[in-house]
Amino acid sequence: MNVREERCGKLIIVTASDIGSSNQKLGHPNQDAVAFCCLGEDLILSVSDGVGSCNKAEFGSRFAVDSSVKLFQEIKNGSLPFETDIIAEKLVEFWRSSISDSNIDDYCATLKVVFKIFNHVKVFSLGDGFVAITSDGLNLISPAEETCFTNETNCLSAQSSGRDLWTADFYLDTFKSYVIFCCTDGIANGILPGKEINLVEEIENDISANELRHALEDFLNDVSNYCFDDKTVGVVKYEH
Amino acid sequence: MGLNSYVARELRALPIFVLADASGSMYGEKINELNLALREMLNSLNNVDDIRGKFKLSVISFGGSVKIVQPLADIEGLVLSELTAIGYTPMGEAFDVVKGLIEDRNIVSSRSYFPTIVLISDGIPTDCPDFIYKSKNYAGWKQLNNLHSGERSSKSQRLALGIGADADFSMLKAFINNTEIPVIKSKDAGGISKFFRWVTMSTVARMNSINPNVTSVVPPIFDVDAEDIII
Repeated sequence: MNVREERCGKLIIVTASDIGSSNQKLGHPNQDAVAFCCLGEDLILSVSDGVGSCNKAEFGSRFAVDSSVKLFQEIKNGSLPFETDIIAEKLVEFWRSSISDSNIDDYCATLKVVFKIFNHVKVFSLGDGFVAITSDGLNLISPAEETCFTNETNCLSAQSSGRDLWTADFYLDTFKSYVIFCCTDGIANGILPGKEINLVEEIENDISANELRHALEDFLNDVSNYCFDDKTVGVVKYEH
Repeated sequence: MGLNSYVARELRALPIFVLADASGSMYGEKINELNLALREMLNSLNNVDDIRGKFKLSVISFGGSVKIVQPLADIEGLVLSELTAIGYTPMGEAFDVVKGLIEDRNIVSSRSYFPTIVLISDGIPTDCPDFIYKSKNYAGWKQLNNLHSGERSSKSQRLALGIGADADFSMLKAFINNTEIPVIKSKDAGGISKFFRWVTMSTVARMNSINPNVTSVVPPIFDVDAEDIII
């Protein structure tokens, strides 16, 4: 399991990614990717799941999260406005331009991104997995994909446009605690249906910043007993 | 409570629906062999270790009428009822029934992998319109079309065995509707168990693959003659 923990002022960010047993057994790499970047108390958190049937899925997911970070840096340095439509288009454009290969559909990947600039959070979601935010009784969660069966998903592909991304805004009261939670389907499929917000609220209310890393590692290990896909989660916790 | 209390402690299922011809022509050795082969498959699936989920099984018979002999259930501890052979061959109605089951998310949950439908028949469907049967243009058969075009049933993997000279292989090929999956032909009841071993091997291979939703099959490597595999 690849775990990273970083503190930025009162924020703690923990990401964890673990290869699924099926990929491991077949000698394939972990096809999930996660990235974050913290500048002051502004941040970006992004997770992506490379689509298993694509030849270069692990690169597609890495390009997706790296493109998100690059976009955040451009927003922060004033090169791009913090506007939903523009960000959505740029997320797809940056991802596509990272791929020098002519066959973009070898790199398909889902994408979950959260940008936080001061108290304004923008959420972008394409494909399975979910993003959730909780803060003092308020919450937001990206909608579950209405797919017929498991492991079917929408994704970044040659045909994608910014309009394909689900987007939402959330305004934080920075005098209150909050949690931002992003995960790929390996985690989402391992959570009891309808309990996603409860899980994030538990992280907000009952797990201290010091306990977060250990609690997430323990959680991933438990999910691995029932779900054999790659698993990736990123959590931002702010304690006021 | 702890984060672990939110873990869904249930493996994802790969549902298998067996559509078994239990018409009068199956009476005797064929139905006996089919009952034995189903039990063997159930036993083999129960003994598979180290897979990405669990198997669920349903058996639907069509002989005189369509019966859900075994509703979709986890295979662990399952005991199958014996099939008995009687009456005509309402295969189209059986297609409607299996489609209804697959489309119902309370029966086949969205957490499941693509289902497998296994069809075994030794004759012609008696509820197929005459003009379709005569022209062998099964693309026009409403019940088969509905199965192929259902939002969820269209994604199922379909496997078929035709037993004896009277089996309608054009129809079985149309049922599979996938040029990469052969129709298996058996001249008598002896091939039923071999066919189910192949079904078991293919289903286990799918469950162990990187993406169990890819509905490929293992090559039919059992000891059938080349003419018993119809591409």
